[in-house]
Amino acid sequence: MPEQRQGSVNAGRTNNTPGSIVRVVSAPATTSWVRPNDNSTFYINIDATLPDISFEFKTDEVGPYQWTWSIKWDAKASGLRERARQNRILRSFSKNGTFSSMQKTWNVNFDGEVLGGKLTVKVKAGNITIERTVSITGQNPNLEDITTFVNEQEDLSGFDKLLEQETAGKHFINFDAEPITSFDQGYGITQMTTPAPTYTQVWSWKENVLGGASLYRQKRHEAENYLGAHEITYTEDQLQHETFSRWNGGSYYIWNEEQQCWVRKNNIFCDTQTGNIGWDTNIPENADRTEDELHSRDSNQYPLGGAGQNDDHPWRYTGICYADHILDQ
Amino acid sequence: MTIIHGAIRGYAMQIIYWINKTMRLILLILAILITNPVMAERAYTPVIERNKLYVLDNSNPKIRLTVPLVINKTDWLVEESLKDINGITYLAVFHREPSTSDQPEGFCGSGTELWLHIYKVQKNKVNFFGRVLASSCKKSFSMASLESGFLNSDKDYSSFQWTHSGFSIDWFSKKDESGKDILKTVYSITSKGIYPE
Repeated sequence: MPEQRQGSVNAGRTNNTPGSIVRVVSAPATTSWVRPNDNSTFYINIDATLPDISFEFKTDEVGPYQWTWSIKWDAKASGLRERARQNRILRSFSKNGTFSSMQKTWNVNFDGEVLGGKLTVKVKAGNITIERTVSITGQNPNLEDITTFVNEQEDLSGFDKLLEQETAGKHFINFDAEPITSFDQGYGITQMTTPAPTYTQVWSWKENVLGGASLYRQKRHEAENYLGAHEITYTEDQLQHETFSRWNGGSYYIWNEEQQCWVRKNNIFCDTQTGNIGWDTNIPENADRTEDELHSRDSNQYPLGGAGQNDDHPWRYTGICYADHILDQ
Repeated sequence: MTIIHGAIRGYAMQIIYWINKTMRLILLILAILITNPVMAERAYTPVIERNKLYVLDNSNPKIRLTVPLVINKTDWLVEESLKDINGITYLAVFHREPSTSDQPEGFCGSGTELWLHIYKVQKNKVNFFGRVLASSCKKSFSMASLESGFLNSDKDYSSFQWTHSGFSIDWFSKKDESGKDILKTVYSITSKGIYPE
């Protein structure tokens, strides 16, 4: 099957007779693209909808025409910083489709999904196939858009604060306009890893929020079960502390039998200069020390992560400090 | 009267003596009957020394079997009682590991996944037999005893119980695939593995 890109395909011919005249006829390509330009870039709208992308070709051939499209994105770790990504591909996302049409135009639609990456479209007209590739990238919503969207959902009170903590409300790295990707394959604004996000949850910040929201609801439900185990009412503030702590890891409150109420676990002392680092004051090395003393002792170990926690530096990550950091700062 | 009285008292004391002796004998037999199965189940004793876990054979203290743990001491906890099921002794060890190591400030960044590891003690050897996820930050469920909210409940593993054919776990916030609450799971240990009943 001949495959052609747009351009001249019928060169003129001459002869070997001196002084003769040759009539040259320029014959246009019979099938060629009208739009979009090859390798052009489109941006997903701020409201997480696909931009208008229209593929159109011209041909003398009679339909129907066989359209084929495929979109692919290779996820590479970005972290949150505005810089080039690592080269290693963590996961490849792709989707493709095919259809037959009498139309010479196709308005891009991925069955309702919002997808980004390299989009390649082929059209077969007669026995000729033409191909064109464009890029689809993203642009970040603003914080008000996120808060509005979150507040429109049920049982998501406080989730926008958590998103601000996770990614500062960003879904895309502006440097390349592709979704934030962590080393452990957390994607987008919620950094969702489990369950593994779908292609559209990676590229649509709204779908990403909704995907992460199910996890948030689970944690909130878990917190409600926990606080509801004793027959007293708890406040929305207590519920948020318990939910946020569990989002990062572990419970926030313990039950005080004497006072018959929930109290914050008092053995966790937080480093207020960090997002979720603290010390267990039941460990003798941490007892009776000020935050400054403990910070000075351990802060050089923080960049080492778990490897930096040992008997001499008994600091830890804790959901309690995570909740305090977000809600009480 | 005094003599008669003394004789009667002597007979009475003899009767009481024999009753006491008989009762003690009965109690001793009962004690043996009651404790015998327990002693059979505790033919081995787990011992922790220098961050390593061993199983001692109670009938022969010279036999000391190493439990092939792949983790350091701070991450695991041993259920002290072993269990005999169909003539094979099993040991339960809880192993806690970080939910995720790359993103401490993200979802479950300081959370943990708790695994119940079952080891088989047989023919003077301890082998890993199987494991069950007992608590998970990522999947938002836990053993009920770990979530009672009381002081030190995060070290309370009492929701795990040996049964005659395996073990059971009481759950906190665990759901099945359709979203229905699961309060308890009873597991059977067979020669082929660990199966929920």
